[in-house]
Amino acid sequence: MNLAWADWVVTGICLLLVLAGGAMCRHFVRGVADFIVAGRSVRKYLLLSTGMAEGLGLISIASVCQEGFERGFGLIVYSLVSLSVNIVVFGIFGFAIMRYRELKVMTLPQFYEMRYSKGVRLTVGLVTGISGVVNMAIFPIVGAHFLKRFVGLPDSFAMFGQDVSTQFAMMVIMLGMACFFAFLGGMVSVLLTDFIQSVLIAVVLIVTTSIVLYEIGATGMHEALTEHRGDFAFNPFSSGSYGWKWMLLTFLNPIPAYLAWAPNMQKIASVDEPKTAKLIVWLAGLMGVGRTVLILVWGIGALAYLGPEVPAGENPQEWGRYAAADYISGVMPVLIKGVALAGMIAAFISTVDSYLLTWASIWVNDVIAPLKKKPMSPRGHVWALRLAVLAITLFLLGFAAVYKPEESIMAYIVVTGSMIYGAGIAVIGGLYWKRSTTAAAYVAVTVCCAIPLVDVILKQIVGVRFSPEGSYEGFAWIASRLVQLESPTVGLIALLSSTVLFVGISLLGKRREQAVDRL
Amino acid sequence: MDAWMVVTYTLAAVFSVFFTIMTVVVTVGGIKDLKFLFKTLKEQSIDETDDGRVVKPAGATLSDRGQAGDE
Repeated sequence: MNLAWADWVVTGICLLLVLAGGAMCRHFVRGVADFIVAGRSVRKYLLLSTGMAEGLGLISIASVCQEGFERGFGLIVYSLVSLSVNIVVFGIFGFAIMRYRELKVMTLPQFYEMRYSKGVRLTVGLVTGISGVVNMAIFPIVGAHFLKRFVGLPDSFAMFGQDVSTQFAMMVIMLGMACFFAFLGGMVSVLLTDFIQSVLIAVVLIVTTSIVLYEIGATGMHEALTEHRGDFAFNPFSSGSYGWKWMLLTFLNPIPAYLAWAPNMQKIASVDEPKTAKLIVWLAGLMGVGRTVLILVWGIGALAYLGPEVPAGENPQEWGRYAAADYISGVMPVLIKGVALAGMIAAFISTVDSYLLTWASIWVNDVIAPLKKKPMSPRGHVWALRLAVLAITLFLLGFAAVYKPEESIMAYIVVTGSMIYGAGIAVIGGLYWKRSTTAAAYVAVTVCCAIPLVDVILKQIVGVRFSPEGSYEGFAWIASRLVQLESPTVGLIALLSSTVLFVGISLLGKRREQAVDRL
Repeated sequence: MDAWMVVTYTLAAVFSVFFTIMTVVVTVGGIKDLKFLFKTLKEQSIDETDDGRVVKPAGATLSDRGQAGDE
């Protein structure tokens, strides 16, 4: 165990404060709009800080640490490519997001019913609901493992005469806390607790990075990067780093990805006025790059301190992910380690509670409610949302018990995230192109979801049967090639094919122009 | 030191400082915004029809759609 009793006390106090804040908020929820979009009264600084907490989960910390450990600072330029597109398109021109906020919708699929049909709403609800939950399903697995390494807990412990997995027990506790916030006060709880957690996370980021810089020094890091990683630690286009496929996907996907990502759009729906949405995009983006830089330093510090070799008994696929947890846990002084642990748990909870709420809202509002003949009562509606939060939490626990990660965290997130790009294309078409048709929206959404989903299933079920060196024939040859496709290639195929299909089917369809400004 | 290193280290320094400054600004502003949120939620009237249903009034435009629960 790497923590002293004082660290546990500090962690406990921080978490109790957050829990008390979350519980207090249930009094402010008086209707569905309060539960889902906090009465549409969220102003810019609150949205920025909570957006930071939501965007920085423990999975992001582990993922960025892995990138820092394996690829040095290459992620900075990669992040800037994505950011530059977002700033110009959304931050300056307010493309799509201002129109979206003006429509006063609560969830993304609600827009599809206004623009296309109830069937499209149901389809998008199903697609985003499934892909969103699958996308976040890896969060508890990686988060609990990262914390287990940081705290230095054993793999299992005895309880009532049974051997219990420590990682699974941690997942139950952390998911339980995230579920508690989303269940009790909906968006209001999520906003307050995410705000407290964002402050805690920011303190942890700045303090931990300062400690790493003090311990290793800028020169030590530079030497480690040039000696162990070489050119690709700085140049993301060089061999061994991200390469052109990642860059192309990063350049093309921000627009559909941002518009299709329901947690983003739910926050956009919560702002007090449309122009706040524009401001949030570029400020949050710039802060996001700063945050990434600080975490990359942890991974690079681990590389400098521990070296590039994978220790005996460690999984080579996972080592880069958790090396930083081992390293920072070793260099942190007592009390600071307690705050860091609280900050990391906060990072996990703040992301998961927001996503739980978003996906629960989509399942209830866009899948269940459209199928009901009679509208739900406000009280019944809020309870349906709460039960959906609980159901998703239970699914995440079940998924965590059976899923074995086969590729890097970032690759998993990119593949499962690309399932919803089709929804983003249909948003753009719906808001700006009068000829967009309902049929085109159906096809774009389903094709873009199906391609990455098939890829994930192939890699999990079929992938283990093929080795990259093996020679195969017929269907086996096709399957062996498919399972070897890299995540950015799969994402690009999904994005480009659904865009072409959306445009093609709209042009071929019956010319029935829908005035967007008459939604 | 090659060009990519210079660019990388400059960006890393600039964005780290920006993040630190903005953290302070956002924390102070966030406290004010939280007070505003709680005050608004207390005073705002509840509209039971604002629950995500789509009701299309004939001839309504984007500007006058006016779904409930707003402002």
